[in-house]
Amino acid sequence: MVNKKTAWHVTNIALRLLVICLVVAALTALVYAVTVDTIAKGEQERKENAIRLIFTEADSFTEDPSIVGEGVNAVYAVADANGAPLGWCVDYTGVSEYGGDVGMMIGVGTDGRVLGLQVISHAETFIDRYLDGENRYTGVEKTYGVDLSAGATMSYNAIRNAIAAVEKIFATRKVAELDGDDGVFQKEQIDLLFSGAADFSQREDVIDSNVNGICLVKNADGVLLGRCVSYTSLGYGGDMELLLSVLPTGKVDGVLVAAHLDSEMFHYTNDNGLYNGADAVAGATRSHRAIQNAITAVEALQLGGAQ
Amino acid sequence: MNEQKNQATVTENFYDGLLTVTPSPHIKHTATTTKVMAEVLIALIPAFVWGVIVFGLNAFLMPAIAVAASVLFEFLTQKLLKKPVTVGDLSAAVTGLLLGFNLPASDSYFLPVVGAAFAIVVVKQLFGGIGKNFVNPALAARVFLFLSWPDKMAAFPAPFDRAVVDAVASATPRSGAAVSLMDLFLGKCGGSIGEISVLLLLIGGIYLMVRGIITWHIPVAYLGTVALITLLFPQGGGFFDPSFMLFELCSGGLVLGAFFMATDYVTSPITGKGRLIFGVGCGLLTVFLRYFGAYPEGVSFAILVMNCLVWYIDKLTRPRVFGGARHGQ
Amino acid sequence: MKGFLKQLKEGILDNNPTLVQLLGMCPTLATTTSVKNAIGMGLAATVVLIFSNLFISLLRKFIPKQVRIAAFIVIISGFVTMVELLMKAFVYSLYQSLGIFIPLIVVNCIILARAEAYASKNKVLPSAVDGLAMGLGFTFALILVATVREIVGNGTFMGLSLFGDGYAPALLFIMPAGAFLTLGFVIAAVQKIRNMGQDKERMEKLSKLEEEAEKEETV
Repeated sequence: MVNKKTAWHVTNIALRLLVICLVVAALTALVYAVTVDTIAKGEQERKENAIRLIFTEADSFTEDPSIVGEGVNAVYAVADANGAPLGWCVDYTGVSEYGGDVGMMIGVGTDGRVLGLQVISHAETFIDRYLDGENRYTGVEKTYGVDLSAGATMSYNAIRNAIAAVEKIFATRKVAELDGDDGVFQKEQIDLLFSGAADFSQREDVIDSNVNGICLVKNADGVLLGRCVSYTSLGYGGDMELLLSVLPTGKVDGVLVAAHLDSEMFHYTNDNGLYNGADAVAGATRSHRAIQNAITAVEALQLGGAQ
Repeated sequence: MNEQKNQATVTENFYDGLLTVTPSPHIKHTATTTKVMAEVLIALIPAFVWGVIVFGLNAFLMPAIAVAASVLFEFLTQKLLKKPVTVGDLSAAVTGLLLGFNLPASDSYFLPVVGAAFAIVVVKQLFGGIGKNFVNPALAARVFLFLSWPDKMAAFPAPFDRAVVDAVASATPRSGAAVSLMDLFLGKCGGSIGEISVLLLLIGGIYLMVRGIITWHIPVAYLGTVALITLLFPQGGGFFDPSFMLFELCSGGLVLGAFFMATDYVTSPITGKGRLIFGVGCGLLTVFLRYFGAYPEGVSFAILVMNCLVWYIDKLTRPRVFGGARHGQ
Repeated sequence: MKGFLKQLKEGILDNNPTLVQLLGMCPTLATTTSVKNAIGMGLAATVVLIFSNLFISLLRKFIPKQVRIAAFIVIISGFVTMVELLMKAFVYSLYQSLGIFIPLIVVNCIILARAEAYASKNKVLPSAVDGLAMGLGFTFALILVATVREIVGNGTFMGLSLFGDGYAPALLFIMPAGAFLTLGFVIAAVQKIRNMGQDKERMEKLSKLEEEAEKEETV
């Protein structure tokens, strides 16, 4: 039974609450108006400082919205004063095993490898052990195979995982770029596989679905040195893009790993990416296998006719 | 206890055993805490000697310091809290020895001291002394130590390697070192001082069972559960892997835990049924933690968690009393 | 003035919100990994306490009884937001360190408890002083716990290394488990000191009563 007195009573309470909310909201809005610019400026400054710390010659950076991934807040393509690309800076938020967010700025070189990392925000006190005075992670070179004790590994893992994740994003991008194309052949790669190569412009038809493209490699006198096959093979962690040098006899002479998603690949390749047929280690047997499979498959194509 | 004994003697003289006026119990077992603890110490001797053989002087010093520190801290705490001093019951010594067994044979001599302090003062005495602690003190101290000094607790010297003075942490079977199953069983491998020889620990455990100090329920349930799960569902996929099962059984201090830690009277259930549940729980947790946990530790955490559940297990398995009100009053 | 001093003493010692009333345990456990963070958190909470107490006391006749908790929360969260924005703009590193625990000040029991128990029933100036007293008590508790945790667990105090490189800190103390252990011991120690003080008072009262009883007898 709603009588007039109760209705007014309830409305009165509601109105008073409304007034309180409005007053508080107004005060908050006031403080917001005062601080919003300072906050935005601070964010921008921190980003710029972070990027400049990693790429010392950085002059301009533009956001590249095409590169996305989990944990990636933004990717900036960094260029120096002449406009030459230096790489990318990834604004990344990783999660430490203690549950806290670790905000980082990760510098990626043009080859897709992480070359610097700065921790921007974190909630752990002992992460400071791994950072230098500028909050730069000092263990970038040692990302693989470093033995660390438990508690320390926790924060460290956040950084290690972030590096791995970002490298994977760029590697996937690179793999996607190379895959399915007519096969991308760069001079440095041809030179690594064939000594004395001068011309590799002539293409051959592709018969196999895993083959992206084949080019004929000739030396300065026009003699056929062999063929270069761009091949996509399935490895541990995803596709890998290989360049195989095939002799005129159809035998595979060398393999260059152009792009891969395999964190163990460093066991099998030298710094240039040339496959050195290394001995297998645990889970890495499959990438070894992937390259072996590629070699077998390409030899089965009997390019250049059987001898 | 001493007063009761004296009273009994006085009454006996007066009434010549015709009328017993002392209160119950009238049938007394000859076991005392001291005797029980002494048996445990005896059962641990073979593993201790082997540890010293494999790792050298530090394998003697670490447990020795732990025992001395444990006894000292118990004495001091009880004096400070103006309680009767019970170090004679050897329970502190057993805690110390078990703690020492869980340490690497390194020269970080502060580890046994700090561990003993935590085990005796915090876990045991502050909660009310013997019989009142809610978790195994030696195990709690081990966890405290390896969470606080993970690098020092993992500084395992290489077995049989006396030449290495500056202990460089070498791998243990659970952290990747390649060891044959027989070596693992006999104890020719790396690890903590007291956990390496499954054979000698089994001998000690069987000794305790034969002497009636522990019952078969917990070790059998614990080891059986671990064996069953690791046999049928080995880590990393696949099905039915006996060699993986044997590896899991013989490594990581499981046998030490199953016979000497999980069976601690104070922190395990009273009834046989309860003990079986406890053992199975320990086994399940150990396997899950080894498969999915972030730390290379399964046994310690598993037993500690089950220790916390003992109250509930006892309540569940309380034997029915005939007569009186219905429904577990 | 004397009343205010008494209020301050009570807030910091006798009726310390964290160590005696056992309120605000969550931030005490979480933000005490370093003394710097503890002080930051304590001061931020104190600012919110003072202003929310002030505001609520100002409006105590206006806030309807039936929806007072809702009103308190609105006011408290408003001030916490304001403090958060100000910190983000002007002391970013502290804002970063405290992270998620700044917005959690809203549900800090201390603030709600003081709003309900004091500010809504007392005048403006005493309420503000109460906010200050309770805030300082909270900060004091935080500093106590943080000191132990940082020294034992990190070998530093306010970021300065105390023991040099050779010291291997007990990492457990900067982990949550260590927080619980430290807090437990700190509360136990505080209780012991309080009890000793109270026992002394009781003994003095008892001996006074005995003296008076004797006097009466002789008379």
